[in-house]
Amino acid sequence: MADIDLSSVGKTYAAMPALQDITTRFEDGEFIALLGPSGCGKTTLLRILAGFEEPSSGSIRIGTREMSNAQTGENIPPEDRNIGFVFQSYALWPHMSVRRNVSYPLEIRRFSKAEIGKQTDAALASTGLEKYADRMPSDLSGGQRQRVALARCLVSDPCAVLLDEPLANLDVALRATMQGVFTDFHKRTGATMIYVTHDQAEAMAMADRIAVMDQGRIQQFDTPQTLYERPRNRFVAEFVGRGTVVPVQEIKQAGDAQQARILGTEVAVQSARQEARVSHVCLRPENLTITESGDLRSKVARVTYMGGKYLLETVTDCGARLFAETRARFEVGAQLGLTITAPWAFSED
Amino acid sequence: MPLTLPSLAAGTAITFVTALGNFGIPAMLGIPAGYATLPTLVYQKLAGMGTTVLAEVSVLAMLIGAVAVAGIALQRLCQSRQKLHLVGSTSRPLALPLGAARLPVEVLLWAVVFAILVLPMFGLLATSLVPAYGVTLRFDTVTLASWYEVLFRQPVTSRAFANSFGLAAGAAVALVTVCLPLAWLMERRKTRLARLFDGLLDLPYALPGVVLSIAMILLLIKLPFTEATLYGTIWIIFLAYLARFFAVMFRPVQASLKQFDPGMDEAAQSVGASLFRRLRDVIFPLSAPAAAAGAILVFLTAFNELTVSALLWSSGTETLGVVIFNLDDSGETGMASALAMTIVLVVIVLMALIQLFSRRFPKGVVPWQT
Ligand SMILES: Nc1ncnc2c1ncn2[C@@H]1O[C@H](COP(=O)(O)OP(=O)(O)O)[C@@H](O)[C@H]1O
Ligand SMILES: [Mg+2]
Repeated sequence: MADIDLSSVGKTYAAMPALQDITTRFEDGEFIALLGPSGCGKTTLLRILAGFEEPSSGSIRIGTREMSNAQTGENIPPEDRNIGFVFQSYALWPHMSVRRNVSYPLEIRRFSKAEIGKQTDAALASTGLEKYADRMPSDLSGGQRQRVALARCLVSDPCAVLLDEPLANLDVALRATMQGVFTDFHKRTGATMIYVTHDQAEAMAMADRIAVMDQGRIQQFDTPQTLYERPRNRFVAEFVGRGTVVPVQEIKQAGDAQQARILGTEVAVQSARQEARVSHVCLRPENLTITESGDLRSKVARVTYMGGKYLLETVTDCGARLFAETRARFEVGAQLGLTITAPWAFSED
Repeated sequence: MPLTLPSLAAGTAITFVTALGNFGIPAMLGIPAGYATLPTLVYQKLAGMGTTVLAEVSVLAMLIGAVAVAGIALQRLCQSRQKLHLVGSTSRPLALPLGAARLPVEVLLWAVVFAILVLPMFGLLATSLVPAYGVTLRFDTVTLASWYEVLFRQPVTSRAFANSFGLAAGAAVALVTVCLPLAWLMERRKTRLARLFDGLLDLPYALPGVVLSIAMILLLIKLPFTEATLYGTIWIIFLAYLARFFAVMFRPVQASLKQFDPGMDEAAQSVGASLFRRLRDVIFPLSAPAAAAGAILVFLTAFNELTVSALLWSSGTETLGVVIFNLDDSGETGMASALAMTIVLVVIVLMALIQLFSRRFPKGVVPWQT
């Protein structure tokens, strides 16, 4: 068990930066998700933590051990880090049975035969694989294969487990079950888990904290709720949940509260205390109510049934696209009035 | 046509290089007719005057080598063009409906195959069954005398069988041991040195055997710092085989390692397996089929080899190819044919055995099955 400290970690591939100036801390036992669009550097960060790649700058400490330091060139090889890694491709050894795949880490550690048998059985049982112990990996379904990979991780008792989009190859129905398997694993082992995904629902459902990444940087690192309600910049506001970012036209300080002009209407906005001058607001469905008298006139452009409610994509007179939710049905082309309440504001240059 | 042109050109270039370096065919057919090619010229000079003409034949070898390298360069150029063309191609094979012309075309193609592969076999068989070359094969002239003489009376034959078998098996085993770790390291660490080596690797196989043989003689005739020489021993043939068949072994292994999910190695690494353990427990078992395929190919090719051993053999280190060649050279065509047929039979039996066990092997071991 160990916390993980990164200080100004960067990685460049052929003069192209893949990671830039990552300074952060993952606490012991946390379930962290790294969330971001494809190509933002999630895998690179994970592989640097595991030791498969060396950082071009900065240093990494796990527990009390310094793992990598670009200055001194020191780099502890992956086999000496005791970090578990779960791959999107499962990376099982196809020539070994399920049991051998799981027991191999114990063989490496030179445990006694009896001890290996006991621990392997326990790991197979806790991932629901007892029945499949003597099969070959090629005879398993995708979900079962990923369970084997997890059991293999479990027996080596790692201080941290890194997972690179482990469910990306599975169908949607199976993903929900497997998410449960991962959260169970986390509860039981208490290991620090870092889970890479580009699926925000997955990240929201599982993680204690989510690091939203874009273009090689961590844009915001917070709990799922904070990310949704208090995005720090345009990228996070638009990437997490449904939100439209619109500029603030004018801002007035009225005591503690801030009054802003947005899309031609006066609205009280919320913002972080340190934000001196907010420049944009994030409008989510929760911030918009449909009222006959609403002073923001807009036209329905698309209607999507969401089960019990409708998602409306509307276009305002000044051209902004806003998302609103309603229980009543509206036709495409209908005119309606919107009222904005307490949107989240942030500053952007 | 425009699409296949680079491939055709590449094929032409490699055929040119192969024909340029081929020794066996012109040696058997050309020398008696007084018709010399560069490789046979080298052979005749070396066989006639021994190592005193080494400087002279080296120049000839260089000449062949230079032309061959030009051919190989041309072939690579054409192939790299072809890669550009093939981007985004579909995997549906091209089918040209021939309609009524189909039957005659098929007959013609099979006739060509028959003429190239089967007829010479019959010729060989017929020659081996008559008492002397030129006698027509009839029921009353059939005799197994040549077979008996060459297989049981000539001590050189069993010696050659032992030599060829030992050389072929030894080369296959040695190459497996060297190529597996080497291919793995080259795959994981793509340094500039590795890439250079990768580019040069095919040369000993693609270059005419004569060139390689002369190079081997020059290299090993006097070992540095000692008075010893490997020339005239079986080791010079063995080393030449290692060099010549390196690519035959290395390429299948390399191809199998390239398909390998690097995650399998990294997963072993992350559970604490050292490089040695990973090589032993994960990488070797997984590339074993390719290694076995390469070893079978090396064995079969080396077992029938003539060009290299013809220049490097001496009394006691004859290979099967050399024995056949010498028998034929001294007019014992019947015995040469009998021995050649025996080898064909041995190879067929070996292939049949492999075929028989092929269901027990993992997929991809048997080189002629894909
Ligand atoms: N081995 C590599 N060589 C060169 N560029 C790489 C390599 N690995 C990743 N990159 C680049 O680094 C960036 C981040 O990649 P990656 O970490 O795989 O993104 P993600 O996992 O978030 O999709 C990408 O632009 C990618 O092209
Ligand atoms: Mg990735």
